[in-house]
Amino acid sequence: MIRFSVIWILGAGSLMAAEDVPPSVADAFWTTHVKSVVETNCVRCHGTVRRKAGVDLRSPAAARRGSKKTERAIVVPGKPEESSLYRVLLPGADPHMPPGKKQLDPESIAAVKAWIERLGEAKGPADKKAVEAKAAPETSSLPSGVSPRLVIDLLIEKGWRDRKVEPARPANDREFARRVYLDLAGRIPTPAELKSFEAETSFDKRELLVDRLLASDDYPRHMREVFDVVFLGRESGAKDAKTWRSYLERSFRENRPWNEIVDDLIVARPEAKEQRGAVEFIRARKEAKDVAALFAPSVLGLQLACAQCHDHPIAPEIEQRHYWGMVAFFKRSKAVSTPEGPAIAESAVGGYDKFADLDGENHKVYPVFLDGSSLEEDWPADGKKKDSPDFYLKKDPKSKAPAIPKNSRREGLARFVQQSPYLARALVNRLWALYFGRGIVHPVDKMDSAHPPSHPMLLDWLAQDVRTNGFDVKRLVKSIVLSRAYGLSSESDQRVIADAFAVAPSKPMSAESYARSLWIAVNGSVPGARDLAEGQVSADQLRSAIVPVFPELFPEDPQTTLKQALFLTNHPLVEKLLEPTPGTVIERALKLKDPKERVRLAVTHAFGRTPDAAELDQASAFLSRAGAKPDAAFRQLLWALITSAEFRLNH
Amino acid sequence: MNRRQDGQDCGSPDHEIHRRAFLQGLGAAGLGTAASMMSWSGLFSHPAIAETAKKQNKHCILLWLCGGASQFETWDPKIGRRSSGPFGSIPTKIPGVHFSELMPKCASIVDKLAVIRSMKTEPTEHFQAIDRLVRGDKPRPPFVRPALGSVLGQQLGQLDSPIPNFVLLDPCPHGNEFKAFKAGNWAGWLGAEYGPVRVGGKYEIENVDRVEGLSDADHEEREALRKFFSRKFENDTKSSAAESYNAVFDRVKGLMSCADLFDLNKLDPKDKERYGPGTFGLHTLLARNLVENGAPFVMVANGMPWDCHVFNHEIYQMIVPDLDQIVFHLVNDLEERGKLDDTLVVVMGEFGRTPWINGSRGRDHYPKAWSLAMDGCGIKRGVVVGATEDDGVGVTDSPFDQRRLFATIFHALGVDPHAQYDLPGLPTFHHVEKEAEPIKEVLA
Repeated sequence: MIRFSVIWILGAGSLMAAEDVPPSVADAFWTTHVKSVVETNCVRCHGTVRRKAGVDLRSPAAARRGSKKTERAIVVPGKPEESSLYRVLLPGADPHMPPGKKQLDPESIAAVKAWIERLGEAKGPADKKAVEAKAAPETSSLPSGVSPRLVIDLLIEKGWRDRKVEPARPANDREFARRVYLDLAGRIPTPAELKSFEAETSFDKRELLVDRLLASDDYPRHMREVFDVVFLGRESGAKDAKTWRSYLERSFRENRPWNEIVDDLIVARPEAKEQRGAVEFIRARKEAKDVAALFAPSVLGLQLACAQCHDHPIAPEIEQRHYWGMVAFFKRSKAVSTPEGPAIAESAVGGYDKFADLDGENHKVYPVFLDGSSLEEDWPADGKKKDSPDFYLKKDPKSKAPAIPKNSRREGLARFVQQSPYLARALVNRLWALYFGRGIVHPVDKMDSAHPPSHPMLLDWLAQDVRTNGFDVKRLVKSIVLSRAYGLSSESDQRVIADAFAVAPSKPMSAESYARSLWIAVNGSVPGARDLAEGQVSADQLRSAIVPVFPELFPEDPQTTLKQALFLTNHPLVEKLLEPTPGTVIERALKLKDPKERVRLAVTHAFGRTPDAAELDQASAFLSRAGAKPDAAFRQLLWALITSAEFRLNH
Repeated sequence: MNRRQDGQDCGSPDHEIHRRAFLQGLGAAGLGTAASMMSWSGLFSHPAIAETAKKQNKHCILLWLCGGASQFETWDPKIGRRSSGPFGSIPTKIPGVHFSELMPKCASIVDKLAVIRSMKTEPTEHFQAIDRLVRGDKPRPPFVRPALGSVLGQQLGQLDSPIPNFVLLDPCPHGNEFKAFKAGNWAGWLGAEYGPVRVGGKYEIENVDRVEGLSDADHEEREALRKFFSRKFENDTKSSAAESYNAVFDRVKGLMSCADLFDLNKLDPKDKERYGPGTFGLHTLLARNLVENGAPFVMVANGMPWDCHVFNHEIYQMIVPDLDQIVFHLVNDLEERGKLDDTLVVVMGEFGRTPWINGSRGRDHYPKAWSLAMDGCGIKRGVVVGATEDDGVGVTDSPFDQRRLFATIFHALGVDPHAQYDLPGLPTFHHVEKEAEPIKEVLA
């Protein structure tokens, strides 16, 4: 242990050094000072969709290149007075930018000036090389073999210092248990589970709890519920939901490597019977563009839809051809039925489409990946190519499966995805967002250059760690939920800086977790632990009612809707849930004489904690107020608890 | 207090006192700053709807003719020209001004309307055109300009009003591009709370009726207790998710108190007969009632029925008389009830239709020269502004774009069209860009 911490401290030094050195001084300055000025005032005409005067200001590199139209530079490094980019901003300049009466404020102009001055500081090829060397993420020099949990702590703590924020106090056992049950098991713990965890005395009891939850049946079910929505959304799910869900659940139960799961979904030629559900991903959508629209955000963490009609307005690396390329990979695929069940056939020809850019120029669509990798394919002159059995692999005459093209676009995509950095980064970000309510890149599916990570080094390191450890999902999950940041309290005495992760977030539960937790709060046990009483609301009934009203998962900014508040206030099922059927907390409460005891019971069941003095006073006054019938009053108290923010949010 | 007697108390005023004492006790509880965030004073006054309405004295109803209504079969027939199609025209009270013969009722109240016959806009496709005419300007990604209803809801309404500040009455789940538009972000940079509450068809306001067996008082008290716990949590965590959660619950009681205003079954049968039987008419009737009760902005739509690329005349023969009747009754009702002076009614779609008939006896999209009508608040009565060529191909007199239109709408409602949005960290945006002037000819 001691030796280990020495290594850790050494590692810490080099880590921080790396994080401290920006890609290049000027580029970093652009990001911190110039980017927001330019995005607010300039890119509308110089970059987003149009490039007036041939000028593109979406990145420092593009700005340095100057006008593509006149081939003249707009910046002279180190000499703002000679740089038109700076001169046009000054009051009274002609031409003046932004055009018209608007005048940029002095700080914004000073930022542009300072950036041009800094450009002058890096001169000569030798220097340039040095800058480039620093610019490359130093993943190779990072300490490998260090526990990811320690790296998370180290870099998050550094972030606190950089942002000058104090972390919240550590969560107590009850707070931690409620959170980690919700995050790993998709439900709140029962009072009995909480009590036994609290009574445990081993120093590593939190780790033991996490291990227990990861090995439970709850974990794969919860992951299946989450990733069903991540992959297919809520609106229109899998055609054969049962097979799809059992595929997902099995994958998470067996902790199959994430890259293999993704491979299954793209290639979609399951060999074993229990993998059949993998075809449901492509099969869930008719059109290739709709498959691509599901694929890019869920697997790559990217929204490409913006680039359908033009290059991405604010993320220059996403070009129009990438959108069409992604569609092309799925273009030759078609869901068919075989005697062994549904399959995804693929043609060896077709999909010779064109897209038009904003200038009306037509471009041929090639299966090209985001990094520019492309499959070598001929594009027939007239856009037509005759299919032939020669284009397919020889197959076993007994097999009923669709023929496989020798050059499969889906296999090509799978290859590019496996080689790309997106796969691991998107997984890290997705799981981080699942447990912290926001990604290291936020929102979780916009991992483009316009959305820089809050902790770039951490994202790089974790992604690298995921790759070198065989895309082990449970390992990553465990590292995150045992980190110091995850284990903080959600209480704060000031406005929370969300991307510092210095306070545990209060995040809405998924609809499924919410339904299950409501049921547990009222019944004190997990669904299925005992038979339902006559007429009692089942957890499934509750889930079916709640999912359409609370569909959101990974919201960019969690908002409650009026529809949700009305549901909780007036839906008959919520009322029915609170009926004192045998075994419910209501039934047990009514056997207690002291109103304070009833309050304690209710608060413990709903919040997993004991009430404080004020709560005890208020709630027992509520129970004993004149004219209140004991059973009705207790139901109202329980309603007030389970519909309060403290219950609704996982914190 | 409108106490129902069917709850669990006997109705004696004694309960009321004790209940009040209990609730006031909640308010005084040692919550520190949390207590100061809560307004207990409002807890007992059912916000009387009429009282709220008094504060908001300007309203707007947008009858949204989605798909793009033909100007020839409505406000601007071309007498004796082939472009006008098979329908004739009828004179109005204004000499020389004719409406389509499908609109006799509106022709009879032309002295109350303002018709603009020279709208000239750009987008030729639905999505872009809807976006332009509902928001008032070109898109400028990544920023999203709020829809007219969101801005007016914010400007004319109050966040704690019982009736939502922006009501969208549209029963139709379909409508291609309009469907896509509806799924998007209406409120833009104003934030989700300024988005529309959508009602109509399956988009009814669900769960708005109080649970059976729970009295008003029970309902109020358990809500007060809920709020006590929930605010405490918000105060302890400073979580924005909790803040949004609590803010929404604050609106529940208000909405429940005005739920009847959204119920088609509660409409006066005589009114229904005049406006009905289609949902567009019935929803216009709802809009009238909502506005009378204080709603700042109601948009009435019904999918995209006006987009007749095929069999234009056959379909318009059915839908224009409906519109004629609906506009006629709405204007008259508002006037009779003394609401026309503070309610602006706008009747328009996203563009007009071609002067020529296509091979399927339909008219295609035409933004270059089209018409719309307004009346009410701040609008001159009995004017027809702008003109197009004999066949309606181009505007000959006073072309107006959506900016001029929006400036007119804002101005008519007493909202500064050129006011700047308060958007820290965002570019400068105004209600209407480029200082576009209101159309003076239609302003009272």
